[in-house]
Amino acid sequence: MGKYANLDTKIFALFGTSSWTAEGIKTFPANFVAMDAGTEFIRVSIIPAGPGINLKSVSGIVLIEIFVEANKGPKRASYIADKLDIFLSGKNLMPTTKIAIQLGSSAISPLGNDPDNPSLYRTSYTIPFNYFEVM
Amino acid sequence: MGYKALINKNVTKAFALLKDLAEEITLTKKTANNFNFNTQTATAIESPVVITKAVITDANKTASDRNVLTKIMLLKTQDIGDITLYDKISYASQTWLIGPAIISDNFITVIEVRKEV
Repeated sequence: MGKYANLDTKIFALFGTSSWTAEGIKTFPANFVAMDAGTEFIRVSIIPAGPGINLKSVSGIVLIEIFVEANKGPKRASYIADKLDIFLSGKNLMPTTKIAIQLGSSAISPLGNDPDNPSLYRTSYTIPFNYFEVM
Repeated sequence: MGYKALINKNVTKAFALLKDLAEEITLTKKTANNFNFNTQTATAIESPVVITKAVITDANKTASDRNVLTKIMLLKTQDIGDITLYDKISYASQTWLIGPAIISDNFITVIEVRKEV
């Protein structure tokens, strides 16, 4: 596998763990239209658009859109962001001895009501990453 | 007979009067879908297909950077029930995906189906 597929595999796998699913937060990836998503869910996108230290390395951000019920204040989105931090922030993932993924410190930003469904409020959670692979 | 039944009866009659303008289509609906983060695969449960009639009210082909064929279909809501984005329509021996424009009331549903050509 190449760097992009490796990134997807390792980062998405965090959301397939029993400890994350036990949180009960519906989680979907980008390019997936969920049915009955309900009033609370997150959507995960991996954006490897930054430079790397060599041709096999890359940096970028993991963008997670947090959708919660609108008109309820920021508390729930912040709670979900804190949960995400437990699983992502500062983590070092080493799928093989030649590959390492370092996740940095997260940030959240309120985006307002979702244009497709204004009954939901959208908050972006971003966390930078560096993917290193030995040439 | 209540108003709903009366209107549905007349919609059925209208489709019958359209004769060959109302063409046979097969609708495959998703009833549930899921994404497995470990295998990165999407799985969908599809309901039994619905065979019904549709009237093509408009068609256009865009060719800005690709050829995309779009058709607008008029269907009887009573036959198809609730449909969602990316349900599939089989029409004229080809598979089409339902696009974002779905207008539906209790009697008539208008959908946009798309296909790369």
